Amino acid sequence: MYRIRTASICKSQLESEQARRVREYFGAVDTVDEPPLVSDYAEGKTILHISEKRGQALNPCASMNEEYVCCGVHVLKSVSNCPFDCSYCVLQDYLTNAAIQVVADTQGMIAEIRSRTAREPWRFFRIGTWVLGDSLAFEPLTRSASELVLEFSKLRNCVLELKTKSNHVDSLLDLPHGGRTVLAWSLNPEHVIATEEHRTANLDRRLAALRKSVQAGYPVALHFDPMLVFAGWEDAYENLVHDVFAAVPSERIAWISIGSLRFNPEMKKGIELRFPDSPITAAEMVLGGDGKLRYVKPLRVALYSHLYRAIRKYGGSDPFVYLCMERRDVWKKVLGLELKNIGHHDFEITASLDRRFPGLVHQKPEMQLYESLQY
Amino acid sequence: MSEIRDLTVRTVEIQDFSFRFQKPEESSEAVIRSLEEVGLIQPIVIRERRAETGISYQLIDGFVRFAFAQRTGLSEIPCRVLPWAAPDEAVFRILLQNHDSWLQPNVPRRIRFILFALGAGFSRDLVREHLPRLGFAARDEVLAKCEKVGGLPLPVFSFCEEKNFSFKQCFQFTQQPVELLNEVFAWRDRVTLTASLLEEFIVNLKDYFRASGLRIDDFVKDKEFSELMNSDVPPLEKTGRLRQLILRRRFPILTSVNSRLEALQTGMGLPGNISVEWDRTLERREVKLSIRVREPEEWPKALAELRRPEVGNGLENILAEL
Repeated sequence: MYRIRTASICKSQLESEQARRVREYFGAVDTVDEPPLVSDYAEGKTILHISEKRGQALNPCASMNEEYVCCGVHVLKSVSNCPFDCSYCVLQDYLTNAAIQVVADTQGMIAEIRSRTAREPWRFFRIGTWVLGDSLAFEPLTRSASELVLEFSKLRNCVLELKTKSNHVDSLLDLPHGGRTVLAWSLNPEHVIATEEHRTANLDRRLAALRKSVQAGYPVALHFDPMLVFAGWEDAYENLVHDVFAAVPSERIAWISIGSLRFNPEMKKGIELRFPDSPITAAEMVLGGDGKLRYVKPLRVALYSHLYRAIRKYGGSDPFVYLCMERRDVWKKVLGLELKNIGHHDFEITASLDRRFPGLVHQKPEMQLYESLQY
Repeated sequence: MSEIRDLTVRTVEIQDFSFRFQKPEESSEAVIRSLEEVGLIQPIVIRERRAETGISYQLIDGFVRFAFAQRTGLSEIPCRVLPWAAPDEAVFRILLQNHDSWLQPNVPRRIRFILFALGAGFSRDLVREHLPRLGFAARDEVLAKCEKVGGLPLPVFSFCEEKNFSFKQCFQFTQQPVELLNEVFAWRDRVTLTASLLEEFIVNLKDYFRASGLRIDDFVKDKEFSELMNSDVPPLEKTGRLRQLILRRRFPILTSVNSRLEALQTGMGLPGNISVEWDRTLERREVKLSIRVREPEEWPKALAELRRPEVGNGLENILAEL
């Protein structure tokens, strides 16, 4: 299933469940003090290290930018790099050490989360583990996400988001999750999955996993991000939305995000070298105020508006829909919302969760408090 | 190196020219003039090879002087003779020293020398070790990049040399399709090409072709392109127009929306001292109004212009588009 050539375990994590399972899977595994340092991104995908927690693991999303509004999510760096190989992946240009690292020190991460969330007890934190890799790609091997699901079921003012392009949910289905984990899928039409999202689960498998998760009582989330432009994108995205809502009732969807292709200019040549057959870098793009190349705004507005109409058509008015890393004027054009700041966005999501998932949010969110947050 | 000797050697005995580093003829003109004026004084450097069949010599330094001797019918030439056992490093240093003043100011020339050295049989390790002398980092990947640059079509490489492009600028051409490179370089007698403009043309055309499925052959048959290139417009202006043409093809949405915005701007009927500007990439939703006033009485006139309903409507429509 994985293309791992070598695996290693940090000495301090020898007793962890992840270490035990990796030894069972690979047989002899090196024990090391430091993670292997790998500069080549592709080579990094063949080297697995079961890691200790090093420094701060919980941070605000790295994409915070005043011009392009973030949703205020926090990210838990529990995994770094991933076995999948999406042509557009920002990690190609981001990771300084490309070795795959799975943090086994779940208790250490949970202690940090407890401490951070306790500092703002009025606030409801959404915490995702997907910033440096896929949340569930290694779940069959490490069971790291399962440990987090169990721990989050005991926490108060936060919810865990596990976002994936896999179908690795079987080990999570029978866990007492307490509704405090949102299982999320990054979704694209099958054409995009087949041509750009290499080694990921195809759409049918993702939708089957989505169905199983809903049946197991998990709230779920959908991320139509990055949307890509290709011949026939309009029908492809409409059909995708139709298929998704045929698989999952909209009342179980905690949130839906929409975003489009974006990457650092330096990544363009890298993508063209690694994926010479991919047309994605030839699209009409401009440099945004956040230093990223993205589709020209009229095209983005067309993409989002088309998808948003399809979501409302097939999913009704219930699911909370937001744009990921977009300008306020695009929000207004597509969703009709006047967004004040990131805190306002954070509040709107929390208020929606409070209304639609009773008992999930620990106290009624106050707009004034959220809007005063400094990011 | 202790066996270095100064001898006079018959020119016919010097037959191995594998260390000949080709340079443009004009670079030797000063040396030739000096030889013609004062004759051959400085010895050439050769390496002696002794075999059962006799002695032969390999020319290391002094190719112009040797050619002068041959051309003027000299049968003997003063030589500094190295033993065959002289290490490659010593020979390499002599060559480097000899060509240093010609190489240093120009990156493509240095790349040319590196390729020559590799082709002349010096080991990669030796050449790599001496890369810092040539202004490069002593790394294998630098050697590999030099080899790629050396593989550029000759007119492209020569142009890089003529314009003294940087290593980065030269290398980025190696990542572009050869047919596109050849075509764009063929325009250089009609338009003014700089390194940044070349890169912009090539990258935008490449992306345009990838997005549209067209090829360079289709583009050169484009009516607008051929009319422009065959026109009598001066090269600098032609370059600007060509740039605009390529940008229009590469960015059709931006072109179309900006055209609509320009039409709205024109519809506002503003006088020449009031201008309306917006972000041409369409990212920022804002309009900048500039008023140029030279005399106090122009100010109320400008304000009156701004109060006209056409101006308000125009601004509203531009903002709606943005």
